Amino acid sequence: MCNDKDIKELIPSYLDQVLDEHEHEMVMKHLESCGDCRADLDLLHLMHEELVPDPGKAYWDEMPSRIFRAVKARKARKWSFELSWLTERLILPRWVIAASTVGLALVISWFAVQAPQRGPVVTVSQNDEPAHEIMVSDAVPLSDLDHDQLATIATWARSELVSIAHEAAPVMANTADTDFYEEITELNTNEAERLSIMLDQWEQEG
Amino acid sequence: MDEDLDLINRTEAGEREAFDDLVKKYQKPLYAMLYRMVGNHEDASDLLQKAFVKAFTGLKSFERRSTFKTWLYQIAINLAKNVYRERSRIELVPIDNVIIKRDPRTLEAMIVNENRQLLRQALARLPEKQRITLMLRVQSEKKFEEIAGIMKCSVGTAKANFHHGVRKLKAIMLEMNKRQQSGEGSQKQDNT
Repeated sequence: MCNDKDIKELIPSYLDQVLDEHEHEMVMKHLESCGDCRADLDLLHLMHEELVPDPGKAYWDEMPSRIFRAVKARKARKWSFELSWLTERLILPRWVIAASTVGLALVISWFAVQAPQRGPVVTVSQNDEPAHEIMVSDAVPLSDLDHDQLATIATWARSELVSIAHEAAPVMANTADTDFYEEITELNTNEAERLSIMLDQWEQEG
Repeated sequence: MDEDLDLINRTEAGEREAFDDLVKKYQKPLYAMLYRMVGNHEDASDLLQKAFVKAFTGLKSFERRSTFKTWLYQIAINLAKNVYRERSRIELVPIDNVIIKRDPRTLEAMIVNENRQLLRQALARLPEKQRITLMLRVQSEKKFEEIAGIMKCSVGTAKANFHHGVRKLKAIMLEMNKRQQSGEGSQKQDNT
């Protein structure tokens, strides 16, 4: 068996007739005396001559259009696939959305029901008793309350009304003053002079 | 600028003419290689289309470290390997079914045809890398540097695959010839 790798590498090029003159001579000379390399050449020649049937001009002419259509179709499918992939990943499945909505509704309704049931903590003192705190809790029919409880609630309600009245009074006064002041500034000269004469007459009459 | 790179840039810009030019440039040699790998027109045509579609839809991922030709051949070979592994490629045409024309070269043609059948069968028995290397070197006339790029190996490895492939192919064909001759020999004995 021939172990001349350089020659063996050149045999396909010798077959293709692309060697330069020097290499061509070298291979040809080697082949004259080497049966192993001649066998290689015959085998590779057989491979080289393997015929590939030509599908015809129409086939080749149509190929670019066919590929173009296939590329367009593939890109369109890829886009819709990517969109669906995105929606599946970023937008939660329907059952998750439904469960979250129900859960959120339950939480909100729980808070909505609970909040009014908690009443303010008020400090009241009755007569000589020391002040203590009570909480206005669940709605209870007044008929279920005893006398002491009713009294406590009445005291709390009174104190709340008083504080509200105290807070409201300055606002009411200011509001009244503000309204009167605004009305005076809207009077024209004749009207203002007439008002002044009227006030003088009231003063003289006492 | 490399002609292929120019065509690629124009294709990416949406120029249909550049797209067609790229296809026309490589469709025939690629088809020939695929046909030799899979052995029939339908598979070869299908693979040709798939290779081009994959290349053009993945143009943005083409890093331009190799040539477009090398990249396209890589895609085509990888696709062909899958088909080759799944299906039986060998189309055994019994010698009796060959149409015998009344031609002085008929016997020679029959011998050549028979040898080609043996060759196809022997090639099918080669390890995949050796078979593909042989086909690329001898039938597609690729240089070893191109083969190394397509097969993603070194030039030395490509050459080694080629040498081992040729050696093994010879041994397989010799063995098959011997079997055939011993088979014919026993048949003749039976006839007598």
